Amino acid sequence: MPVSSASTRSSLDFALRPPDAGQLALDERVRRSTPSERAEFAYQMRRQALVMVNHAADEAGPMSELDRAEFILRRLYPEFSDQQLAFIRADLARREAAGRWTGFTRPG
Amino acid sequence: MEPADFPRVRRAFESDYVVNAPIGSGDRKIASVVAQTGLGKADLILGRRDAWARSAMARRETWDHPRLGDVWALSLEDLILAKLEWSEGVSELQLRDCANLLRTNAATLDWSYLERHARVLGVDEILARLRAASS
Repeated sequence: MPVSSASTRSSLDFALRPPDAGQLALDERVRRSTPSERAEFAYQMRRQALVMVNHAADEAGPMSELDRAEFILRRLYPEFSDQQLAFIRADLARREAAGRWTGFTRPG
Repeated sequence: MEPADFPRVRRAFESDYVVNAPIGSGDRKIASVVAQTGLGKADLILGRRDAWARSAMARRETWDHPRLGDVWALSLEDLILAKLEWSEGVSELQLRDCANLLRTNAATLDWSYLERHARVLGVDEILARLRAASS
């Protein structure tokens, strides 16, 4: 896909900005951790993200389980293309129609 | 992974995961596997055989993951190259990840390896700018 030089420049400029205090603190925490500690930290962060996104879905008001699934996936995995999300939605719809899917499990 | 293996992967995972069919063309096909719970996703790169991809596979390292057990992991240099390429120069998230990785690991990175493959992948200018900013 062609990318305009303006897009490239603005994204790179964003990445080149000096790290803020929060990023530096995170860098230091990562640097001090063992690989196993980093893996556990990453897992806990993913769990926390799932809780936050589910909370955001609750706050957004009533929606079908398929809409909720797409709402969650768009936020947890922003790298998904519309094409990939459409495929996932169609797959979940088939499972739902067959009684094999009733929505993403809410985090406990 | 080889494209011919994809149907086998699909069969193995599809009861508990949504298995996205490959998209893209040539050696840039990507599929994904998403847990039906919503927590957990893996991308599958299919049929990639260029020099960097072969090198990245050769340099991968085994690691005893505390939750997953034995896993293969890309080397740090190859992770950075993958992110730079994946970003296509416009993904702020990937570029920022690269900037952080370069800044926190500048002293131990194999820069000649990074620069050699970055040239071939067409991400050398972005790497140079990120390197300058991280030093």
